[in-house]
Amino acid sequence: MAPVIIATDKTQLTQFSGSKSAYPVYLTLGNIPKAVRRKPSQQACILIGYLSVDKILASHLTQKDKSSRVQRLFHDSMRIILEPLKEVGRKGMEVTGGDGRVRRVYPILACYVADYPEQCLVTCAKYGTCPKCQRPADGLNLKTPGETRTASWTLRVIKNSKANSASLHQFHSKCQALDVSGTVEHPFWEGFPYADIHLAVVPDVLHQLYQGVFKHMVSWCDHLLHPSELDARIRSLPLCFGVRHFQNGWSALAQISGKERKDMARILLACLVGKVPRKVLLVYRSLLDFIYLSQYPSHDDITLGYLQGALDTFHKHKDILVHIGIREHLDIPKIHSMVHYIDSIRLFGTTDNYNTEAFERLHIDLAKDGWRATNKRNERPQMVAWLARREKVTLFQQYLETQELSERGEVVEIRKPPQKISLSKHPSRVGQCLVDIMETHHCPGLINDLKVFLNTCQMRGQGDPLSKRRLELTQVPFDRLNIYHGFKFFREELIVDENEERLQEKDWVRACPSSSNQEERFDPVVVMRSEDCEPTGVQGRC
Amino acid sequence: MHQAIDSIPARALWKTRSLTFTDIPDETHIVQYRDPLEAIKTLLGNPAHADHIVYKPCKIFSDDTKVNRIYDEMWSGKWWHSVQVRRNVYDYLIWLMMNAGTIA
Repeated sequence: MAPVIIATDKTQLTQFSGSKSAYPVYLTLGNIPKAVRRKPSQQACILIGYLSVDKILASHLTQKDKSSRVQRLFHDSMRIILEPLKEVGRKGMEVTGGDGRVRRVYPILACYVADYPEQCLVTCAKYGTCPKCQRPADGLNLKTPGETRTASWTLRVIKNSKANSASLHQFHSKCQALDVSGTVEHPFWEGFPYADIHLAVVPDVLHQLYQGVFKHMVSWCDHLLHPSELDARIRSLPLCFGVRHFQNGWSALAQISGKERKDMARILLACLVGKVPRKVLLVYRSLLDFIYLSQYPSHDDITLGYLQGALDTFHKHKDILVHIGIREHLDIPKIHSMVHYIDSIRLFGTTDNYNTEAFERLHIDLAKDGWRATNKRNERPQMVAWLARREKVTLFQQYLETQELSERGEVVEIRKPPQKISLSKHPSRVGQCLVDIMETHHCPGLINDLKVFLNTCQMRGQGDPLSKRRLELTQVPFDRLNIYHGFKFFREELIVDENEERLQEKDWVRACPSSSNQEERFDPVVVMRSEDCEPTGVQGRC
Repeated sequence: MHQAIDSIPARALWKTRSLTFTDIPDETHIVQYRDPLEAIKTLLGNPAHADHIVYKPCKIFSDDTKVNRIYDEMWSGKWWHSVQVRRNVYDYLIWLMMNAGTIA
């Protein structure tokens, strides 16, 4: 079987002006491991179509009519593109695999990756309701999902409304009453074997959690404390490796990218402690827990339990947000969507299997670069030709690589274990006076510690170590040192993925005294000296 | 150069269809697409990925007791399993019906 993952996402092609956009449709398969799938260079996702993005110009139509036409156009286009899948999903087709064996494969629509407006469009759900279950718009704050929408239910609603209404308008309002969009009579997924579009619409960490839930969390902050206060707190955070320092606070940020949201999520909770009610803090903590837990690359029943726990904590305390007047209600589709995460993970694997981020990265390669290669006039045929050529070149490259590998035969690569600590080639400061170092680096005990250290070195060299008393009387036999303002060290990998090349992540520890253009910075380092030590989380009260 | 590249067989051919609404005949909407089946064939047929592709679902557990199920890649999820089972039952029924004559 081949689970087909479809992704659509409208994207802007021009950066500053103009309204050129593209509407690419991507296809990939669940058979391919996610590590391969998310690498654009591996070409494991294939662009199967560009939908029309032209506006409907007809002047005699109202705005509402136009938008319903756009929706019908979408469904008609998708039907044309995906039509072959229906037949083959039932009967199967013979496919020669990359290993040369022929298999009978049944491609079946498994996941549909899209952001919230498109999820509604695809599933024919009324905008503002949940595309996965039948909770009405004012019931989205509840803890449990409603009765699931099924493809047959939606089709039945559409059919009944169609039969009982005389005009298009009546049809529309009848569907809307049942939370179905009522613009499309024949959705493209009608007749797909084994597939249920409402099941296939999968949660999406980037849009739902970071750009949705987390965005709300940040906007609630405005009610909790004055923005300038929050900015001041953010600014006063010490510099730290891996944590972005927002020099101007958050209120100055205009358009916030996904990456920035992630950087913000890291520090938000710490910035609120002490200023907001405890219950609000609990809500924030549980939501952040949920965001992070849901991104685990591998889940089991226990960790899914944690995820449920975070969700339960949120629902237990969420009323505080209404009580203190931050929000009138919590019927937010994106917050509601969290109740569907656990089921989706159980059904389709972890969220990184169907993350929109991977597809957004493809936009750059397949749509934006393609557009830049054109002469911007009548660009669609050019983009297609460009893409076809690029694919051929990449395929040929891959072929050459595999050929080369098989010619070389089995080469066992012996990787040198990465050196634990690396220093720059040249010291940052040469020949610093010891007394000066003690001053600028704020380490008055330097000379003493140096003596002790050198003494232990001598011990290892099997010389006679000096007694403590004699040590105090001895002098260090030099008065100047070369100083390095930092070193890098390799972390032990948390996740070793065999398919992926080792992520060589480095941490940079710095110890710089203040200079004319830089503030001083000294990173604290905790060293585990013996085998009995064990790293544990740092716990604080919250 | 372009000709040489163009002569290599493509992953899947592009097609173009234009759609119009019956009441607005002068506005055409172009959809460019290619056959998803061809796309699937090239994805599965890529020799570079041959060793990694998985065709069957499986249940992964954290230990022998099979209590704690692990969810990770798509083939470890429940959906694939259930569809595969339904598929097989369906195939079996078809096989039964086709052979009903010969057996009886």
